[in-house]
Amino acid sequence: MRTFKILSVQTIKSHKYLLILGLVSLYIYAGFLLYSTLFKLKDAGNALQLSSFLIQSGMLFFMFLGFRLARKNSGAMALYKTIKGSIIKVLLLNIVLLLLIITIFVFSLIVITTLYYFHLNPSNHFYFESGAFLINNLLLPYFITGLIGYIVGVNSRSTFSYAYLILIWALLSPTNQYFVNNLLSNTQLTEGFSLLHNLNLGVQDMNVPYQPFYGFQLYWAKKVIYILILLGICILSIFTAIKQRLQRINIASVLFTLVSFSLIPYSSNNINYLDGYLDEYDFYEKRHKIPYKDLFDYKIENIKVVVKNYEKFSVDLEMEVNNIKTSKIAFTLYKGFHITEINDSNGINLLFEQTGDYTIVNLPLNYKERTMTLNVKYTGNGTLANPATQNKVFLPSDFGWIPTNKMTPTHFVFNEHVIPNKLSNPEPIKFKLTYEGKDKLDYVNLKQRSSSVYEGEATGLTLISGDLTQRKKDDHNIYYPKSWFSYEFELDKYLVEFEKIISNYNNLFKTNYKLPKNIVLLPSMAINDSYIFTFTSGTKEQLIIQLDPVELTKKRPLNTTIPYQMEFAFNNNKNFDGPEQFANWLVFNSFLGANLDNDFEDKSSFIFKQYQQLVAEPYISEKDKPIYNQLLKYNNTKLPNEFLIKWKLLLEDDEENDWEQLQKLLKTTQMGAIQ
Amino acid sequence: MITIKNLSKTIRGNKIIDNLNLKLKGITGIIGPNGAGKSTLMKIIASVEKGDKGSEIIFNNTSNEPIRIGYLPQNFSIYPNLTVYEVLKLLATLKGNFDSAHIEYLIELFNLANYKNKKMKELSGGTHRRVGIAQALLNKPNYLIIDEPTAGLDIIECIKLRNILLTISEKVEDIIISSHLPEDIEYICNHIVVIEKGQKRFEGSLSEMIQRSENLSYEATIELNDLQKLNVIGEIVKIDKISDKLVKVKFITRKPIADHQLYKPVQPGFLGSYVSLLKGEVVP
Repeated sequence: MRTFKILSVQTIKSHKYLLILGLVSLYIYAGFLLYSTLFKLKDAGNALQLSSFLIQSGMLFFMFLGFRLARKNSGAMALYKTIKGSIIKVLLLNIVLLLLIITIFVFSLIVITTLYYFHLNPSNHFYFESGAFLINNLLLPYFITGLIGYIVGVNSRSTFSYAYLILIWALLSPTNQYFVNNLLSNTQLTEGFSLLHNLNLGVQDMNVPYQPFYGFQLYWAKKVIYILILLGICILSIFTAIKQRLQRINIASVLFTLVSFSLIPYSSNNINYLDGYLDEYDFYEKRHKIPYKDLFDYKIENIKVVVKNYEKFSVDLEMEVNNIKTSKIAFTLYKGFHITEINDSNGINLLFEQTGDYTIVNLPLNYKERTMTLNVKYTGNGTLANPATQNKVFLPSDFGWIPTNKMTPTHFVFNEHVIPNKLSNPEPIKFKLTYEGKDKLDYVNLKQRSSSVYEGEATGLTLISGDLTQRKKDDHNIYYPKSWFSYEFELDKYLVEFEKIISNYNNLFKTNYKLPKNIVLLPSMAINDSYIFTFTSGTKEQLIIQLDPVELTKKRPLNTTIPYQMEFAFNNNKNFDGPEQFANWLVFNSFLGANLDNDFEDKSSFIFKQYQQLVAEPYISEKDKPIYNQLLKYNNTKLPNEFLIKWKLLLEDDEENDWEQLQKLLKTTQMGAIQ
Repeated sequence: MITIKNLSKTIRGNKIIDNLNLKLKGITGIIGPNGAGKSTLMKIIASVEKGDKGSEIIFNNTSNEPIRIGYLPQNFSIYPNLTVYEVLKLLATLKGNFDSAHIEYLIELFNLANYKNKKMKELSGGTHRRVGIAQALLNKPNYLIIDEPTAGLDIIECIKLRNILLTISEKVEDIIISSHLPEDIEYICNHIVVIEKGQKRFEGSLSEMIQRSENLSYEATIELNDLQKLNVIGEIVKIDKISDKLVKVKFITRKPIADHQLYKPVQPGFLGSYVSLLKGEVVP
């Protein structure tokens, strides 16, 4: 201990300027990040997620600190050689000291951030995520570069070492791809970028902001193995500190480890759906043939679902159906869930054909007018907006992840966005869910019977497992991302306002909606947040709202979107055959929102009204444009309630000539007079 | 006594030490020109390096105490930002022999009290060297190996250091000093080893060494212009100027000069004997 104490004192004394300059710079930069993102924007997630330059600069600093710590011993080596075991002792203690300095630095950041989180909200749970991020993306990379610097320092006296270290740092740092991309922008060597991606020790993509539902993507195994290998080389270096030939091998083995690790990808449990999203866009942009209507004419009595979510998300489902009219039945299931097997209750394999979102099952016997049980097995990963992976699950009850006899595609393309349809059953059915998975579920819309069994009646089945926390407020269970702990006040205010707007909606349409017991607040799950106000779904037992307090509050109060969320919140049967129908609803919603808005006069939510009209307009035919233009003249006023009620009814009827009906309505309510 | 048997050392194909056989005792001075292999020999004795296969170093320890070696390398370099006391404390701890009273004693012995809290980089060459020897004594060694104790020191510091070495000689069994300065050896040592190109030229006492070259040392008064001629018959070891044109020269020859009135035989002294050894035949 005395040796360590003296060595530590001398190391700190010898490197006081380097340590002061380096650590103070890092603290200042970290402080700047925390101030601008956490303190000013209250964006706890991005305060860390966007810290790539802090990671990068720290990696460089600790690499050179490691190098200097090793180099400073070279003068005393001749003397140490005469003291048995002293070289090993000194070099080992220096490694301990290096790792200790790094640990103290990173843990001081953990303490600072944690204290600040508690200052913002004492009941937060984000400190654990934040600590894990700092350990994974700062501590471990700093250990790795520090050890590399140390190994090179012990094994090399050459000035070439500096260039070698800079090269390694550039390859390992979070900006390596951007750095090399710029360097090689005019070459065809882009294939090598995946190798750089595999080498990157920091945040995987420095430009991708934090996604509160997924939390941080942390990779432990590879980094820990890296550290263990480097520690091995360090120990080898210590024992071969006198032998020059072995020293060269030690230095080369650092490079060899680097090359080996560039070939090993990081575990792929993170979300990489972009390619899939483009395929979906191509698929849903076309209109696909829907099976004969009669095949969907049956009734689903109850569904037993067994979900196993480990390596794959797999579903084993028993669906009891009756009132079958033909020898075949069809159901809708999101095409990304690949059906492997369909059996009847006797275990007999049934022939089936899965084409896109529709599956037709051949029934071998005449089940007409009888109740039968279908056993359907399928696996899949969900979509970008509705993931079903071992880590994160967001499968709301109105998403087509459970077979349904609704004759509607699960998605449609609108204004270059793939938008999910709402596929809830019109009437509640009995569900029994058995769930086994790597992580536990945060929310299920059924009653929990045991640790893995849930039961109840619902119009669909909701499974949510994300980086969420839960708290009780009045009679409500509120679920929301852990990183939103600093927005608790805004979220509460938002729900109060939501309740007021529900009341406005009820008064207008004579409905009886109210805030359900379970409220799930999520960030935008789609590729962007353009349609965030439409991705709200509610039933008697749950309300799932997508919103982004961090982004939205930068410009206007969080609750300005509420009037435009209402129509979609409690209408889970609202599904769209195509974008034109959706456009018609958006126009309606833009006017409805204005009527529901208690602060319509201050125009703060006007932008949402305009946006809906802007994106809907291209889907309105030239023939119908005059009617649409006539409506726009009412943009600055509220429409009569009677008009809105009738407009909604005509949108909901089975007739397709919405605009003609609307024109008649305009005339009958004498609003056409404005023209 | 330290017995060295068949010691050779080859580095990258070059024989740095070539089959040395020595018996080092008392205060042994190892002297030789630059590149003779002195430092390598010292390192091998101090166990910093190993000799080639077949080489043997035997410490004939007369007491029952375990062998403890104190070593001062030629380039004693240690963390410049540590104070003298911190250096001694650190090295004592590393040697597993931390004894603050002993450290204080060494500080007194080497007259380092005023420098105790000074950083190593602030010390003069002589003080730095004194700290070097003090650290070599931290583990209370029975064998002390000092490589070039007076390297880089001025005359006064050299004298001080030599006195200190004489003082501590009573506290250790054997001291081995290497130097390329004959004065160091002559002043301190009672046993002398001369090596050149890794080979032994001489081993024995100072008187034996002088005796070997008794008939080879001469003195002459010659003109300054004739100095070059003298180089043909011997090696000049001392020149005293008498006048603008005349100098008194002491020189060493390879063979005795017979019947020459110009040259007067004189006692060779240590320096003369040393030069004589280097220019003469190798003594097996």
